[in-house]
Amino acid sequence: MTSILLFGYAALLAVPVAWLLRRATWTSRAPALGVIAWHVLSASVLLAILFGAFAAIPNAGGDHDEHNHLAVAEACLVAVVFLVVVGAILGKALVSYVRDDSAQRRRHRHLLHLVGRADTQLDAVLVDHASAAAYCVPGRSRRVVLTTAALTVLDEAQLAAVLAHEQAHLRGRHHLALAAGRVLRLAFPWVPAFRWAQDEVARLVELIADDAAARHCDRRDLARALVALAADSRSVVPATAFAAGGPAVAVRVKRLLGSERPLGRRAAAVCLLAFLLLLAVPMLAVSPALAGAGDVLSHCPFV
Amino acid sequence: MVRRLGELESAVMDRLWAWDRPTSVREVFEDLHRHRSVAYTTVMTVMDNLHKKGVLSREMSGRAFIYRPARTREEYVGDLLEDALGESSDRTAALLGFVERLSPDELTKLRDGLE
Repeated sequence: MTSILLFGYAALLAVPVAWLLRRATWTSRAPALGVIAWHVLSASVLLAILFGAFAAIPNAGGDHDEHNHLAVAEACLVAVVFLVVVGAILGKALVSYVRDDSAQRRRHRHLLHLVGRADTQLDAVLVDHASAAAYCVPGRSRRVVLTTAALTVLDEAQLAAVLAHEQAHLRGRHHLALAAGRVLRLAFPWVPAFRWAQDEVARLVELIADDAAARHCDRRDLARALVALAADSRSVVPATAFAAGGPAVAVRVKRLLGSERPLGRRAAAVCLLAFLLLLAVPMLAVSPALAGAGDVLSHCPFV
Repeated sequence: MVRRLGELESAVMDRLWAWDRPTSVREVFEDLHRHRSVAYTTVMTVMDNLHKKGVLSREMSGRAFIYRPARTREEYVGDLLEDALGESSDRTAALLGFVERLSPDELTKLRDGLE
């Protein structure tokens, strides 16, 4: 029974609740909280499924006749196999992510070594190219990369805003927030919550970096820099790649220029409490079941 | 040391791209030596590594190898930016871009908003 409730709860979070969170407008006003919300939601879905499997292991009780013993063994087997499969899928996704990620970073670092030159004044690596671009390479040898065209397109204030934005990505270790979502999506691409979580976290970390930059620079300068770079980076890749993330830039510019207020302290506290409840429910539901399962596992022939 | 080798790699490549002709280790060494203290064998190792990585191609000329870049600098920069900003589906979080591409319509609208 507990197990059906937990699976139901996971489904509820994974589709309707995730859909509501995706539609929520407050995440743009409190992007850091939004990132936490997505991670808590994803973790809750995962935990509810895992605990649901645990809870499916029946409590043997005092009744130890032959038939009951067999049923318990069967249920044990199903639950254990399920947990092992879920664990294996997650593990495989994690391994392939780490491998791809480090390979990509290594290749990129190698290319940067060949064609980039360090600019100590800007604390960035410059690359000679006719289209303006700015990005950062996170990780151990983290750095901001700018094309020479970006230096011509941006004025001094805009350049400072772009650098502040990229430094915020690096300081905030935003790649780790993205990595968590990416691994879950690799593992279970058919779960809507994980698909949306990755897209939303990618969007929200940009907003976090924008806000961080806006604390040191003028918001309008950052907005102008966004438009200048978005305009120019068109020439980097073929036109088929167009507009994939276009609206995101438009929304960011409007957000920087608009009068949107950050979320108030009270609203933030309410949100935080709601997330903690999300996590707490499967824990509470499962604690008696886990105690029972632990009891049975000691008798289970497969463990 | 790793960092220094990386720096040397780009110093070597800068020269080969700029000279744009087949070049021996000795020539690169002599030019590098004017700007920094570096051992001939180090330059040889660096160029050998670059060859192993496929960045330099080489052929025997007399008793020594002569090297040339396998691809132009512009091609590498193209790869670099495609890696960073292209729409590849297997993108990890190895890089974080500043902006994505925008359609011309949206750009015009945004520019109007900024004026």
